[in-house]
Amino acid sequence: MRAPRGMMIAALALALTLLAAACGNDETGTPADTGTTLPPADTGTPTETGTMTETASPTDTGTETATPTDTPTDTGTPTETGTGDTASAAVSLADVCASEYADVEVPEGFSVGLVTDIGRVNDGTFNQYAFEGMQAAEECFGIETNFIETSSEADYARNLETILSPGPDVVVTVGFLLATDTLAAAEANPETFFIGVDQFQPEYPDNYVGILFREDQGGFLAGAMAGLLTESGVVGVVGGREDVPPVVRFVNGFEQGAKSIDESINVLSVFLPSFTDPAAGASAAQQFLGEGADVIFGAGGLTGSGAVRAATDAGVFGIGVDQDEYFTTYEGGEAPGAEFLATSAIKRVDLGVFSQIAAAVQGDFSGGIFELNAENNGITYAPFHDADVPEEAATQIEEIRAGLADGSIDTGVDPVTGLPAEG
Amino acid sequence: MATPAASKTAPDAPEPEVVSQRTRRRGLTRLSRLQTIGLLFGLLGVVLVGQVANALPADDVIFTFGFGDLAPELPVDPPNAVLAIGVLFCVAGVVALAERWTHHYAGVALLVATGLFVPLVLVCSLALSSSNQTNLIPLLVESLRLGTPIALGALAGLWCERSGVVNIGIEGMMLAGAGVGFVVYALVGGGRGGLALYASVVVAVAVGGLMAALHAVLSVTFRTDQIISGVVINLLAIGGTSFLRQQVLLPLGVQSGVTLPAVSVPLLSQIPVVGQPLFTGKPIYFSMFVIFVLTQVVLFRTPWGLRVRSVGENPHAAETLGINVITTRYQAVILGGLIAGLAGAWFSLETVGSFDDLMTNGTGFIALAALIFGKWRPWSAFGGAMLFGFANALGTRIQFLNVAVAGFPVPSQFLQILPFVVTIIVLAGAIGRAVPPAAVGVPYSRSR
Repeated sequence: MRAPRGMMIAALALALTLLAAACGNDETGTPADTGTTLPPADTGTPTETGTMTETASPTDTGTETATPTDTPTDTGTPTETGTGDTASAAVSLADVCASEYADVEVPEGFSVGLVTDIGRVNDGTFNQYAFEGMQAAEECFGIETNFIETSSEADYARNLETILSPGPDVVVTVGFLLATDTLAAAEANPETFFIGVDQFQPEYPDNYVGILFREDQGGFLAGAMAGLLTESGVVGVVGGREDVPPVVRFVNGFEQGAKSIDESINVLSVFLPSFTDPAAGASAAQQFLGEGADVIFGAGGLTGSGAVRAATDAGVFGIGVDQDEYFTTYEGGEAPGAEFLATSAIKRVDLGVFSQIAAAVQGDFSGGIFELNAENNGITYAPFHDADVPEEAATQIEEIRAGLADGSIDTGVDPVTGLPAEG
Repeated sequence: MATPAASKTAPDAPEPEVVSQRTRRRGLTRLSRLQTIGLLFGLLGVVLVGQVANALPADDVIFTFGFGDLAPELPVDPPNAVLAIGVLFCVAGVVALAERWTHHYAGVALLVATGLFVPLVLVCSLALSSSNQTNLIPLLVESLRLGTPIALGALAGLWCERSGVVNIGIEGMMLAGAGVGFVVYALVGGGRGGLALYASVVVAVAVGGLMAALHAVLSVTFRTDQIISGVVINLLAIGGTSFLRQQVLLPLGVQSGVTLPAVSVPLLSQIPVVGQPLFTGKPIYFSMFVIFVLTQVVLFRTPWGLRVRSVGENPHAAETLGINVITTRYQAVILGGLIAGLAGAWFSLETVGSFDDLMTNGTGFIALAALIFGKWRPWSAFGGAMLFGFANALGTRIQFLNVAVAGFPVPSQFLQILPFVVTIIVLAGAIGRAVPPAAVGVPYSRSR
């Protein structure tokens, strides 16, 4: 009777795994992969930077690229080339640097450290975007930077300690999930400035700023775009984890945006329990297609990108999120289906990180919430690139963006809770 | 769909043990397992008739099948439909409880009742949703598609465990296949399809086989505990593929690639309305059906299949008959690994067109559950896999139909755990005792 015991152990292992899966699949990677991944050198080394730039900005962007080619060793390329030809309202960090911070006096030995959320500084998510913001600050002010890539949720606190040990002037932490540890570190190190991307706190110490985004506006833009493009009157959105507020704001904003074009549009929405399950995203998108959806917005990391890919593969419009997915998911138009990527709802994480580092450099850093929205160009939409978007829709979406920016359009979503506002 | 009844007709179930188990339980409760389930169905039927049916909105809901104007539509009146299903549940319950005297029909009745769960859930959720119409063909197709990697994983485990080697490393074999397959695709074909794509599928399959070979070396030759060996495979795959992605994929800048093209089954896909969605799919999806048929035939109808089963049940007896236990186990384990590698290719090369860390998301473990659910038999395991696929697809469907119970939307988290809840219910209760191959988990050492 030894065999059943073996099976019981197997069943136990299975149960544990299922539990872990149900609690969020993205943590299962810890066993083999724990610990801090320190980059080869403390500062972003030339090759590292080059690689990152290459991924983010294919050479055929055609606009504003400072150098004609991005070779892997070419550190001189301004990092913002990746976002260089975003929508008309998108600003290049190099321009911001030149126009607003031309004669800033930089304190001697000023240094910035960054801790990523699970992922890498070249992974095509907000980690990369935040890193690009820090790099732009490095270019602009000639400050020192270094970073740590997190590979497990258990390492947040440890990585923060490590990045704090040389005594940097500013620490950037990326992601909602790092909020608790960042707050504790900010309270323990009152001399250091902390910048937390996507981190909401009821109260901030004076040395801690949370960069928050009006994702509802981004979702609204995506929804309006979907509403303008749909012919079937059915559109869909695939969101990530429902317990992450930015996702909820994107999804509800999308619904409001689509309805703002035509009240009768049917908006299908789902939340999926992982940000790293593109197969599940693709499957949800397939079901949307089966219900007749002809525009699909993916608002949930890789899961959402899976949905967008499924849409464009099927020959209907997809809308990306966070950054211009034309350059990430679609490799600058190299990948199939790029002609169906209508646009992306963009969160300028790089702009937020850059301007807060700039504030710290100038000595006018103040704690609290720094909100990026349509008004200060922190939320916008990506250019249409290869997609065949009608002239009329293009004009209308720009009007809507301007309306969100000047406050004449309200998304109808509560910016704090992310739920549709009453009435 | 696999059902409790399937166990009754199993040719290879070790009968004596099952009987003793049943007698013991009868002594305690005076109810057999079938009767208990029948009782539950009866109670559920009463609740449906008495409470649920008249609580549902009376407006007709419409199920459509397929696309276009020709698609057949089935209008259903929810209260009456639920009433009818409730009555049938009661009948099934009575038939099952009467088994003691009739000695017949309990299995069939419960089979029918179990099958009725699907329309019941569909009618209730559509009646409670914000929409009054839904298309069932995509739901069916997505169930099959989501079930594909689970079904292939279950087959991988089936071959391995039928030969007497526990395999909890299916997940790792899949992940390795998915990762290495896509890396090769990116390196050789640049992610642009063509011959390189098919070659990469072959590589993915081979990598699954290699991982399985490692499992065989550890657990058959060196007689390591098979659970530990499986864990090693999983950890190795997680670390190894993550490393490959960092060192090869990211520097290469290939983030996504062309996936395997959809193919249509000739003739069948010409059937109006439903033919196109049902019989158009991707190669690995179709190959799953072929592999199931082959597994069934080879395992139960060929001498080699018999050898595999015998070394899994009683390796010493097999050896006395001149079967090389070690070789047979190696063959079966590696064959399983090849299938797991194909399941990995389903993720990176057929469905998503990219590779990300941990992208198999625990599917290998669900596959293991489907295998146990199917009591180590191919078609039952297939049913189990499709049940999980259906639970998954249905969770998504209920979510975007905005189903609300008593005015409150069903929380998305609840729907997301649906497949896991189904796993637990199915494993704990509905299938009864699943008897693994007798020698599974026992390292074999040659008889003296």
